[in-house]
Amino acid sequence: MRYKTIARLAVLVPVLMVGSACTDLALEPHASVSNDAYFATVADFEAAVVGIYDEMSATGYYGRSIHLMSDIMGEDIKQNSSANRYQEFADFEGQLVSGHNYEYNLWRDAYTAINRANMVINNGETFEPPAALAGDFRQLIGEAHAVRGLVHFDLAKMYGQHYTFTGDASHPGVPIVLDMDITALPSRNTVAQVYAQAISDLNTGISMMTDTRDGAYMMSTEAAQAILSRIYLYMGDWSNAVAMADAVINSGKYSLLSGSALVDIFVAGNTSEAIFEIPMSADDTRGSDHLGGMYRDSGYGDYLPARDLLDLIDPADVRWGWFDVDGALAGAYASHRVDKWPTDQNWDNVPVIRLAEVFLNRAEAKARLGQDGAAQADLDLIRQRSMPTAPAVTATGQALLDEIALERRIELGYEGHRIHDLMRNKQGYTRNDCTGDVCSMTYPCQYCILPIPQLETDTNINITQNAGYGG
Amino acid sequence: MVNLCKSRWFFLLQLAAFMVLVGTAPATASAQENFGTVVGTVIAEDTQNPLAGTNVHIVGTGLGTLSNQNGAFIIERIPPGSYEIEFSYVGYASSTVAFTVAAGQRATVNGELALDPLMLDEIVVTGYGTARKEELTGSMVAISSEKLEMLPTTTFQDVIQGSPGVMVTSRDGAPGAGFNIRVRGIGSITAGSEPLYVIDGVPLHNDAGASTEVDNGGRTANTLASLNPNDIESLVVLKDAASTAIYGSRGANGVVLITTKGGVEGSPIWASEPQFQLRTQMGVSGWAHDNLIEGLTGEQYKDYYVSARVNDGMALADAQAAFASDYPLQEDNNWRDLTSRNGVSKQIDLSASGGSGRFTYYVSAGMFQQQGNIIRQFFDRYSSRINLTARLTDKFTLANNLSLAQSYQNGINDGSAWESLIYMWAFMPPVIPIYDEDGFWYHRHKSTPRIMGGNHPMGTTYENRKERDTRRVIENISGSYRFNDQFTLSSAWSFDLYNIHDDVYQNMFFGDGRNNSGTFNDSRVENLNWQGSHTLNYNNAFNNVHNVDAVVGYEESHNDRRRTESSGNTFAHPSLKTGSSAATTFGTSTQAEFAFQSVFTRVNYDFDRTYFLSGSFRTDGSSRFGPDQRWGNFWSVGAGWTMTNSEFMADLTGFFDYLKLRTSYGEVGNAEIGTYPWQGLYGFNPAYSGQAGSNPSQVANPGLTWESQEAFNIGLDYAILDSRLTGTIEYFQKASTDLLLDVPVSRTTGFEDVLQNFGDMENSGIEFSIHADLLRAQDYDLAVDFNVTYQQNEITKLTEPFIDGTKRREVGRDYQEYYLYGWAGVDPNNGLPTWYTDDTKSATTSSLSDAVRFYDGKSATPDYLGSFGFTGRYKRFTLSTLGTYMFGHYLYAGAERFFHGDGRYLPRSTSKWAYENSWRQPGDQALFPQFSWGGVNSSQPSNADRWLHEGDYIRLKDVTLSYQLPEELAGKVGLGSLQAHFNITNAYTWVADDQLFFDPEQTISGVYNTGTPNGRTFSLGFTMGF
Repeated sequence: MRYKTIARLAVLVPVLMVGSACTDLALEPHASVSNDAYFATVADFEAAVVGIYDEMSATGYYGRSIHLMSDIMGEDIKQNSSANRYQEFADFEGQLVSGHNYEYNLWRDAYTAINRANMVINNGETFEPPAALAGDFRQLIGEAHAVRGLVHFDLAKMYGQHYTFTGDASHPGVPIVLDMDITALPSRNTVAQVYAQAISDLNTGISMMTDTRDGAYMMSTEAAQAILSRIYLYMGDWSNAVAMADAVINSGKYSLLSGSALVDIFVAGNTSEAIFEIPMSADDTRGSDHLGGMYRDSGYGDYLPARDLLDLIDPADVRWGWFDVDGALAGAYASHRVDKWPTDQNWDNVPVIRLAEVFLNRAEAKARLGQDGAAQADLDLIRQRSMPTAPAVTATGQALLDEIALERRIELGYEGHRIHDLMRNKQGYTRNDCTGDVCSMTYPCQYCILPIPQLETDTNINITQNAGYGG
Repeated sequence: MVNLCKSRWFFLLQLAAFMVLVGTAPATASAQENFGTVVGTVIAEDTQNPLAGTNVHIVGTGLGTLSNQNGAFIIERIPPGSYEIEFSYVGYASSTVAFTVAAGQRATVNGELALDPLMLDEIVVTGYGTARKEELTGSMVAISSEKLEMLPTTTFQDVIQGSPGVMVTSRDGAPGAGFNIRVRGIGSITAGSEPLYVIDGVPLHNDAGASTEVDNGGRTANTLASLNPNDIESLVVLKDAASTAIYGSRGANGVVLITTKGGVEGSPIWASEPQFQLRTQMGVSGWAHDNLIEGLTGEQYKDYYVSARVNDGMALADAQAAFASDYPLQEDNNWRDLTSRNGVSKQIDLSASGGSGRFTYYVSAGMFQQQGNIIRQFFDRYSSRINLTARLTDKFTLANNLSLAQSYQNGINDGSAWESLIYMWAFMPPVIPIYDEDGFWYHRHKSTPRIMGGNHPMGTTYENRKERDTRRVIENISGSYRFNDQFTLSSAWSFDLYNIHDDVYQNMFFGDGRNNSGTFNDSRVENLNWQGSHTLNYNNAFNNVHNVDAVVGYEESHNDRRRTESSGNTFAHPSLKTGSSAATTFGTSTQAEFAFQSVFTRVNYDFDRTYFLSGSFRTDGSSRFGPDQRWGNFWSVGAGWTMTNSEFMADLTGFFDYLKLRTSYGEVGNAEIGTYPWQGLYGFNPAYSGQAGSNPSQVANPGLTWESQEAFNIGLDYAILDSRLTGTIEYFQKASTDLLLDVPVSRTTGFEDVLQNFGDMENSGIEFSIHADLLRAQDYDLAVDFNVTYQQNEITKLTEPFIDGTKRREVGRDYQEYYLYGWAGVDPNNGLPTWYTDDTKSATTSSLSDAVRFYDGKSATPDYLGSFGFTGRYKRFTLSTLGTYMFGHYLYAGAERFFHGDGRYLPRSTSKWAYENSWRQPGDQALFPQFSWGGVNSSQPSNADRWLHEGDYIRLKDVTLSYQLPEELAGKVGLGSLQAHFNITNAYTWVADDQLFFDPEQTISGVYNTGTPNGRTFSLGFTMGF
């Protein structure tokens, strides 16, 4: 009996234990690839670069926030009765409305994009592409550099005072991040340092890019040059602004739109005028959380165009097509809505930079350099393409600069320029058509830049908060 | 071999081999022997009445039966020899009688059982085995089926509430919603804190579901609701290391063992009579908490709107004109009442159990239908179970438990969103009409004034669809072979297969679907978990005083979860709701797997049923950890001493009828950390301009290791005054180390947080329970129960303090301590909000920028929790009650900064409470600032103690009155027995804070999640035996 028991056990236990070989504990995820196995081919880099652009298109960044926040701080927007989102910035409340996190989402999305670019750039340093793909590979690394420069510039303009706020731009900007280090707690670089980094990255990009891979939807040499023309303009480096604008315009790759094509510029997408823009498609399913949704009746419709701007537009101007009348708006809220992004499903494209701005950048820089004639010509080009009957500009000096500034307001309205143009020109304003709590702004303006997000100050002891936003 | 292994069905081959090996030989071994027979009757000592259903068992053999209605039994086919026969019956002390039987002879043995209120002989289920209650060295709570049978409840989890050391809160009052259960405090931060559920040896997965749209962030998801509570024989909650260490890496949060009902073995001569039972129940419910949030009347809303405009600087006439323009049609609607109802529930359960010869069975079918108290909410379950046991030979037993369940559920939008119906109760202006001129839900407010994202309480709720259809099959087949009296080898294979199908449709008119002309999301999860578990048991007694019981086992499991989702938008007609009609569709699918491999052992030893020792050990390997940290060891030791059995203690323990000291210590782990958390990963979610992209999705941390927990327990079980007073007092201390935490990092890294082993935490507490048999008599009895748990939590190590929502985690503090802005009230002079500048509360400011958040000694962890109740019987009437309570914790209602609006959210409405308590003129001692269009600055931030409430509550959870019809009367209507029971759940609720406008049972984190409030149900049921 005892022997039989032992014999049975001796047979049975091993039979059951054979199962031990069956369960594999080294399981790999199905939807991800281990870091060790990634960046092994040029295709891996290509997908990683797509990842950078994808992050830029997030609602917290170009999908909505960066343009919207830049415009609602200006005087060309009034609040609808339902306005609630972003209201703390429209009213310069100087405090965070927790639960909104708009200042946080932009910060997070921008640095996420930077990190994705860093992963591409830094992994690219040790990667040897096959000879046949060497050019493609350089293009990808170049795009990553140029985008990283743009994102640093965007962060500096949103979270720091404008470049000329101090004589040497030594006031706080944002941390420059060039490596992936999960333990890093960086402090803020000066605005001068951030601009220098942005310029360096954009120039590196220009030196490596040879291609336009996806029209205006991806970074290109001309896109980098166009962005540089804006950066130099913000810095007051007029001749470099002209040089960069010249490079774009003289490339011959772009031309201005007119008529209905101009009105539908963001519906059509990738037009001849687009230099760099973020495409939105059904796949993005943004719904109301698209930039257009903040203006349109079918979205949240929180913000309306102020008469301060509408009254400046000539009745014959084609650009009235960027507005429509909403009969349901009554009283102080009457009468127009911004209709630059008119599609119901909110999948119109969002511009980063387009040719009209490059002309206006050049016009302004040239006017600053005293080349009024050339400046007038650029301004006429923009003004007369939407209103062929407009008389040629004859103003000179400051009057010419005012005309150029006016044209920027109309042409680039709601595309994220207004507060930055005001700041760099050190101008305040009065909102005449005002439905919010605050109807004027005087320069200098501490609440015209965003607070460093609390989630950053909570975790990063080295970061300093902007003035007026508490500790 | 390798190919075989890849087949998921390989184990079937193993099982077949097992059966062939063990199943053949013994059948022939005993065929030609001659046998004896034993007969007798069993009676109760106190009443001298026969005890039907007494378990009669010949010690050391597999032979046994149950006594019949007259207490009589017969056991045949006994090999000649001397034996001991054991009689056992719940509530009575077991008794053993020796007898001898010769071949062809019949022996007579009668049993007389004495009442045993301590029930020390009761067999309780433990991890990988059973034990007599008196042998336990660990800490556990056992709940019998009687508690489950009477309640009109969706899930067994309800019944665990009120057990000592166990905190149970319903996250949501929606039918079929989930529960939070914490055994002895919060053991983890990021990793799971829910206990492991094991049903008949099969670990269950409590899946969050296929779509977050349906489950409102996990609150309404409860795949455990697929289990019919009526099928459960016993529930055991394992609390300390001695009990849970045998579950190793999955034991740290406690283990809930569920045993389903089985049949009862008969004898070859007469089958035990089949027990047919039919149970029906009907109920109707309302809200359990009477003081729910109330909106304004039309008149009040108009005043709110107009005065806020005027306070903001608008002329009165203009303000009135604006109101008239915003609301061309005005009604006066109470949205809460319009969307609430008295939910009706129905339940029918039919079961049959019994046995014959070597075969026993339990078969049941159940139907449960419950309407929620909000329109369109319901949960229906249809379930069946077949539990079979076949003792094929004297040595070989085969068992199969199979359960099938299907549930249907429709939810509503609750939680925190504009679409949430609970938000709309307070927020939706009462003046908005129900219908438009076409008889459809009114929707002009979609455009002007734009309110609640174009939602309409009725329109959104009626036109949307949030359906969940769950199917679950749990199959457990096991064989055991008893080599001899000492060794038994068992092998069990189980599957848990479930499908969740979530079907969400958001209509084209109201809410989130309106911008996309309607959206749908149809997602499915298919999850298969298989487990193979093999154990070898040994038990033996030496010299009649040294008892040894040991088990060694090997187990492996694999889980494969696949999810597919199709979604899309743009429908051409409101009646179309499925993907085939959508203009734009998307699809995706995912798969995730994990696996465990384990070896475990446990040894129990006792000396003369007086001194007890136990030890257990388990090694777990898990795919969830990196190669460096894949294996973990877990262990426990326990000891017990029944002092009343020690002669030399007689002087000291004379006062006690029973006194047992037990203690345990051990280390258990927590593997609930997600599937591949250690790997640095690139993910592929990004897409841009029609191209697929990648992103760094997870930071590598190969050193990531198990959370482990060192748990100490010491307890004293006592009985005094002729065992009329019994109970337990226990102290526990659980030190959790290497706690996993999503540690926030600087966002400049491109990540928000990184999972790290970051901290240590300690939970300690005292549990005290007492049961008093106040009256015991033939016709009546009365028993009272009370228990209280005092618990404390402290973070003992944290690399850096950090803010996490409303809390800040810091060493030396309760993990759940709030860290908030301090509200200093409304300035009576100007109606502005004021805040304390810091924790000294010495200065106030009306600008939040000048204030900081601080600790105020308030935590979401209750200091005291427990339950109380009594059971009284008079003749055939029984009245029983159960109350639960929690004290010393605070609830944070973030939604109140919206609900109690002072104008920021206009033209949305506000709560009646805020309206009636707002500042109107200088000198007003008001609770709320002056109304102002667009709100008052610094008035309504989140993370402010303005929204913090005392959480103390007492709830009369259950009152049941039942009546047992006399058998003669039942017989006249053709029934064996009939019991009627009337039940009220959540009969009464007391809360400390009269400004608590929501149910006091909220999440463990204390944060009010605007879920559906709990219901109070009145039900009437009948249990019929045939």
